[in-house]
Amino acid sequence: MSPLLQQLIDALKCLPGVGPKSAQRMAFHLLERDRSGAKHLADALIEAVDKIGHCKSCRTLSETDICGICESTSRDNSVLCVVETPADVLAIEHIAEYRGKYFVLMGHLSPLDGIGPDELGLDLLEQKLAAGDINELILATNPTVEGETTAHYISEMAAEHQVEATRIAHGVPLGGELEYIDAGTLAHAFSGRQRIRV
Amino acid sequence: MQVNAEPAYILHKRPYRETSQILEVFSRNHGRLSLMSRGSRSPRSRTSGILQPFRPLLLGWYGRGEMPNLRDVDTADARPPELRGKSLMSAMYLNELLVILLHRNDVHEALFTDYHETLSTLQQTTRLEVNLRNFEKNLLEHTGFGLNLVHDADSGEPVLSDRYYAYHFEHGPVCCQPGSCRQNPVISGSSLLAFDAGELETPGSIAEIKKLMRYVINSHLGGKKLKSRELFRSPLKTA
Repeated sequence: MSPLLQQLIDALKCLPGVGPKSAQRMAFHLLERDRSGAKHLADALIEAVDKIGHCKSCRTLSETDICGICESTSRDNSVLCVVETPADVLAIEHIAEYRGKYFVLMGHLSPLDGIGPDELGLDLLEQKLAAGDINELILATNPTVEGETTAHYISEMAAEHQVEATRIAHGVPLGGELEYIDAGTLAHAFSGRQRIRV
Repeated sequence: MQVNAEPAYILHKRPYRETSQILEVFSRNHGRLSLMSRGSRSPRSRTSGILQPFRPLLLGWYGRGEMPNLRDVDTADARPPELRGKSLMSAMYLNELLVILLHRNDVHEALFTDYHETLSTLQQTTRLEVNLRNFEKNLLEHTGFGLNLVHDADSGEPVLSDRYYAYHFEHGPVCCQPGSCRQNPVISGSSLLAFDAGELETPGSIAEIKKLMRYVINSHLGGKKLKSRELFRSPLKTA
């Protein structure tokens, strides 16, 4: 195999879920059938990698210093939603119900992976809390051990600055059947039950 | 090799490929080991909810070599310990200690039981510090680094409750004047004896023993820092 072709296949393997076989298929597809698409992909990749950094206000991925959501004047400045990844921001934006702003941790507290408060930019979040504009801090980290730990750590921080912290609910998914739900989720749903308002 | 329904806890999980993960496991009869759990990170996985740290599990696995494959998983106890806030952070600290201090495949049955019991005591935050210190002591003892708390390491005399002792790593307590030793923690004899008997009560003793255990564990780590200590923003209650 030609060295350049091998180089392309090896490079494609850096994508998640792409092994040697798929990388080879992708390489042949781009070279045999879609050269203009390949050029476009290459340009888009270079441009994205060169220009996209982190928003200075919420840490999400952004090519401007301050991202669109942070800059928006129509959004509520007094509510801040803390999430783990930029993908979580997109998921919440999709439901189109939330009009506050975000703070993206780009991870969660995980001592065994060497990730502590400093690695998550929590000092930046603390500055925001200290500034006093925020009334409610919504903790939307994942319902995992690390996500819960992160939520607790941040809620302590919020309490120090007299900011109300709330945690998103978790339990039985819509359309789910109790019989098939794992014990952990069901126990959580049970302990978090709510009064029915009539 | 095939193992069925082995009592175990997950200490840590690392994502692997798209939908799999590598589990760091502490099991009762096989010690600490890594298991490959295929497909458990996929959105349709039925096990992702129970494959969590601090839940008593029954795991089955097969395969030889460094990393056997997880075959089945069940909960060993319908009610896992409810760990929140400081309790959860303390439990993460235990896991970090176990991952760092336990060698792979060394069997520690008694320590497993101790870990299991400590997790359930951590649900109450009132005696959190004492429970953590006792676990640290037992962990060192089970891994062959047991502490000498009752004999003066130089003279061999029994530790006396009204004296003060400078604690030397891998040696033991040495009688000294309070304030005379700067490199080593100085602990009162009464605190050493209370800790040895598992009867830490007074805030003063708890604070002294905390200093001692920090010194001993840090010496074992040889410069490596425990990340989970950074999770505590405010000091734990000593009472």
